[in-house]
Amino acid sequence: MEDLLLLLKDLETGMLAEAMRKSPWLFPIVNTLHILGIALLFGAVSCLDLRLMGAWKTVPVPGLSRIVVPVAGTGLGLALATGVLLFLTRASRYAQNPVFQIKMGLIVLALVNLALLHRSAAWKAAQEGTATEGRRVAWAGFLSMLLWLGVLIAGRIIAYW
Amino acid sequence: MRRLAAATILSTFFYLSQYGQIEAHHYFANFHEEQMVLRGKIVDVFIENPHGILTVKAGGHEWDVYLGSVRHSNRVGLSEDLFRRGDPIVIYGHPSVNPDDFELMSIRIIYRGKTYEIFQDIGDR
Ligand code: HEM
Repeated sequence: MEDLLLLLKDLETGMLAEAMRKSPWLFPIVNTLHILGIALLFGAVSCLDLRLMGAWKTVPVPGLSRIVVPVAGTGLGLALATGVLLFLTRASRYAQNPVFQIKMGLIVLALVNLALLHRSAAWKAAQEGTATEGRRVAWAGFLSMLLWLGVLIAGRIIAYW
Repeated sequence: MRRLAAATILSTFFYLSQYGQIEAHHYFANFHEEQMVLRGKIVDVFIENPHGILTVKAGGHEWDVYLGSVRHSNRVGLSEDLFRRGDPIVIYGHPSVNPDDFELMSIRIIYRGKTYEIFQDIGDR
């Protein structure tokens, strides 16, 4: 635990973290890109999740996924990369902030949910257009929305903790 | 459909007209309405994003005095080179609602005979 704290202190005194804190523009730019990532991720993910939960039944899942999955993936990549930069600025403080810890936990759960869904037979069937619904897939969609929303809320609450 | 669009536009305008007040209130919600004066000695100063911090020792406690962003601090004339550790300093500000925090949202800083206006407008909310 001590070593981890020292590592985090090294990270926040590093050049990258220093530049993030001292530059007038870097922080706001990275912060804006974090929001852009979140917007792409949550906007895209919620469309597919609602479809999996039973909305817009006439819209075929394969076509919708083809649009929504790469957009959500781009958003996730952007949010993760910029999130790490924001974290570096005060690494030791964030790591000890309970809301930040909850946020990281929720991200892990959301990614586990994603991985489980993508490996399931029900998802593969839905991608081939052979089966579009099912309780399994509907639950995964519901959980996905709930977890990403939780990540978003926790992310915003950190500043007020 | 038209009615929905009209309602959306109207409520957006209403929201935007209230926005300044809502935002100001929300941002400073954790700080007391009453002002106080802090007289102490400079421990450390960081002009940083998203906001700077000036640490001041007064009455046996270390206070965290909140400043603005790097751009805001530069605009009001603050820089890290300006301050010297151990120097006496006077700060007007709003303390945190929790007195155990020893945190102050700065309004005005008086240092070496010069006055720096930081968040002057908070008092007028
Ligand atoms: C992947 C989905 C993510 C979502 C939905 C998300 C959401 C958010 C939100 C809504 C904010 C508040 C932004 C603001 O108020 O300007 C935020 C800030 C932040 N995020 Fe994320 N985030 C994500 C990933 C990450 C990751 C992977 C990290 C770090 C490893 C991270 C670190 C941070 C930090 C340090 C802040 C600043 C907190 C503060 O001091 O206010 N985020 N995030």
